[in-house]
Amino acid sequence: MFLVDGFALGAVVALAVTTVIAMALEPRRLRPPLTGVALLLVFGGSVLAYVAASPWLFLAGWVLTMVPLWFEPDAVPPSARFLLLAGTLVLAAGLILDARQPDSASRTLVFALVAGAALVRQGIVPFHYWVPHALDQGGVTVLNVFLNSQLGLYALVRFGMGRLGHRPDEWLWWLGGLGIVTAIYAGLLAIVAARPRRVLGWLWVSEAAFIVSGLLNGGPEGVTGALVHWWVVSIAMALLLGVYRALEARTVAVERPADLLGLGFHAPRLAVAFVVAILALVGLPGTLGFFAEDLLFHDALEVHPWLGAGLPVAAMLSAIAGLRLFSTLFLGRRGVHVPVIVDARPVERWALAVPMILLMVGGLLPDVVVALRADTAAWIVGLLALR
Amino acid sequence: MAAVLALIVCVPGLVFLTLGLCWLVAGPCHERIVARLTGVTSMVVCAGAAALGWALLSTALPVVATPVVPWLHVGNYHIDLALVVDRLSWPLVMLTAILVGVVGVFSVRYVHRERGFFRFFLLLHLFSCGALLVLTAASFDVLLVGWELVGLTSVLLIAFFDERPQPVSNAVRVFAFYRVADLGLLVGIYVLHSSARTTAMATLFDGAWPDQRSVLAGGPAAVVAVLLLMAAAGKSAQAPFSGWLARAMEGPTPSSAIFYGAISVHLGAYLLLRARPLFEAVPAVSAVVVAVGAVTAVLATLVHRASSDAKTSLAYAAMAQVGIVFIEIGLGWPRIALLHMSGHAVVRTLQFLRAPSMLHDYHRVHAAAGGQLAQTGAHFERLFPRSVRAWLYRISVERTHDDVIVDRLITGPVARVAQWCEAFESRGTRPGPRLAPRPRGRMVAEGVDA
Repeated sequence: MFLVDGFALGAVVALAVTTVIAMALEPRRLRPPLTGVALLLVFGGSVLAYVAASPWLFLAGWVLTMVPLWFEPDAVPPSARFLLLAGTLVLAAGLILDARQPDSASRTLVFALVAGAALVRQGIVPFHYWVPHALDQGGVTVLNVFLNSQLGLYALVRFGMGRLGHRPDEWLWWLGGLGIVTAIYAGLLAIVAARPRRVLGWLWVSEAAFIVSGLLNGGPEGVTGALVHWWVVSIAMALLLGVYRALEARTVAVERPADLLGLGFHAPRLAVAFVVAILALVGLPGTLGFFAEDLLFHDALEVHPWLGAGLPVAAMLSAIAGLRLFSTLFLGRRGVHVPVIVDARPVERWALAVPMILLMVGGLLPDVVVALRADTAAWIVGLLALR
Repeated sequence: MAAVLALIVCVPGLVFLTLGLCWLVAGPCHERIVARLTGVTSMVVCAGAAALGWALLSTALPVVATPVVPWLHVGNYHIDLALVVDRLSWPLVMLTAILVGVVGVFSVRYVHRERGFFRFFLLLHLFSCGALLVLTAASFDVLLVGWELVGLTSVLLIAFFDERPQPVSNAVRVFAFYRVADLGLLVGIYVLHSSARTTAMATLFDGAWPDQRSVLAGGPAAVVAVLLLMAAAGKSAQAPFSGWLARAMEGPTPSSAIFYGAISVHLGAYLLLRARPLFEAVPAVSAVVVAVGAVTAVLATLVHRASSDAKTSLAYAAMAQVGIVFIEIGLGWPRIALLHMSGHAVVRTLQFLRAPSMLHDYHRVHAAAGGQLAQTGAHFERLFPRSVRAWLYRISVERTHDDVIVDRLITGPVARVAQWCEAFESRGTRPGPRLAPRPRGRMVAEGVDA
């Protein structure tokens, strides 16, 4: 009934860290009713999906994670909910077809359906619309855990990759390329987006696309880089969204980013956590993200000699967008109408310090982290080699 | 000696981590503690660098190297952590150690009671670690780590006076320039991994500096050389990446001295010197290096002569000198280039540190000369007709239109397309999140009741 291998364990650990950070940084005053229940449903559903041995249990977990989005009025706008529902139906169709012992051509259809569901859930172009839209309009904390569950990627690896039958290399090549295109597109839009929530949404799409591209490019470097980057994105995005939520609690509504200038002076710890998370997310040295993206670049350039050069470009765009967001939120002269805010409280300091230390120690000892993901990477490379 | 080499790179990094951790737990340290710690760190690094120099001079060894430690290993792809000091890097290591110490001592008074005092020294130590890592890296992978750290600290120090909008926007722009140029180094390293299966300099280049030969030749060598030139031009503010240097002058003067007068601005030239065998293998790229240096030197000299403020004038003067260093490297004169870099770094640091009192100094010299100070360079200007001089002056005052060209040809069109896409993507959304309205006054009074 349940299966706990290295892949599942890695996903559970990343999600647990994400959830703890999100809960610790969620301001009680802004918390809508039933947020705790919603978080429990998303976390529980994700864990159920991770450890499920049967596809039906996985599907149950997948659906469970979507319940809060459907019933929580603040969580996600209707258009995004319907897109996610469509993705779920596509996944269900794929799993039903898979249960009927398909032939080679039908197995390819299974892969296509599961990949389609995964692309929707990960916000890959052309299904990217819902992520920045949802983060812009919805509840950050529930979405923080929902997005960082990376359940689309999990489904793709667990139920998609082993089913590649007909012309597998072309499939992987096109989907990996789609990941690179998404990373560039989202990085570009992150630079020009005006509202901080949308910038964070685009950054998440861009970085999730890095992971998709690494997994589908299929080389040992790319797969390992993708698995390491999965952890980096989960921790860094949880930190970014958590810090942003903490800022919202201190400054009423963040409708005009210019209203927030100069918060770094009063909240230096929040500012430092934010900048460390940005650096890790966009792969600058001193953080684990640097090595994850280095591996991803290497594999992308091997598989897509021209398009692969787009991945460093996407990282560059994300980095500029990230620094721009940091400067908008934390630097500059504080307006007279902006309240004097308090820095991180003791509980929040722990929630900020632990992920920062994880990201920075990982940057000093990348081989240790890679060793933790080596078995899973070898298993995924083996799955792709079976095609 | 290998331990000493590792020590001089690690000590500033450890000081950065220790100070950062202390700040996270208990807040910023007292100014006096930071100043003493900076002094001790500088002395340790200087002593270590001097010991390395003694080891190089007193023995016949061409290099001092640390053992190779595997840092990252996946399949056939591996990054090894190793440091090396040879006759190219030692003078620059020594120079960095001394100048960081000088700037550190100077800054204790310069940023005294500034609200960013602690931040300044934290970033100075991180910069020192990054610069020493670049100079002692035994592979291009390790060099990239130091290279990015130097860029990052540079950007954060440009935004040091963050209560003003200009330094902040300039920092973001400089960061964008750095990131674009660093693509060259990133992709160049990939090509090295792909074609030579290594980025270790000892494997890529046979022999001891400056008489090295590249094992890579032909197409891959040309591609890597061009990509490294792009990265070097970005770091050293050479054409077409010259626009950022004047913007970087928004940072505190001591950081301008160490970054844009002394060390950071010369790291591009160092990269070219380090990868010189690749350029020798492809003479056409060496010619491009000369052309880049010559164009930058001429244009920067013009702007330097027309600049109305001291720091901008010095920045363009530095850019012109680094352009000449590029020419020397392209022509195959590595020893002269190294000597030029070292001398220029020292002189320019002194000029930058004296910049706040430059007008006072000028008046004193002017008075001492009896008010008869001759205008330099006027005899060259007289060679041109008046109309050409006016035209050149206009270009110089506009700083050769660098920013306008970049905005109109690159960032403007890209931003317009991106803004159109973002407008399309965000259609139908409300202008902000749904948050429960709360009275602001209570929050101001009580802080966050989270």
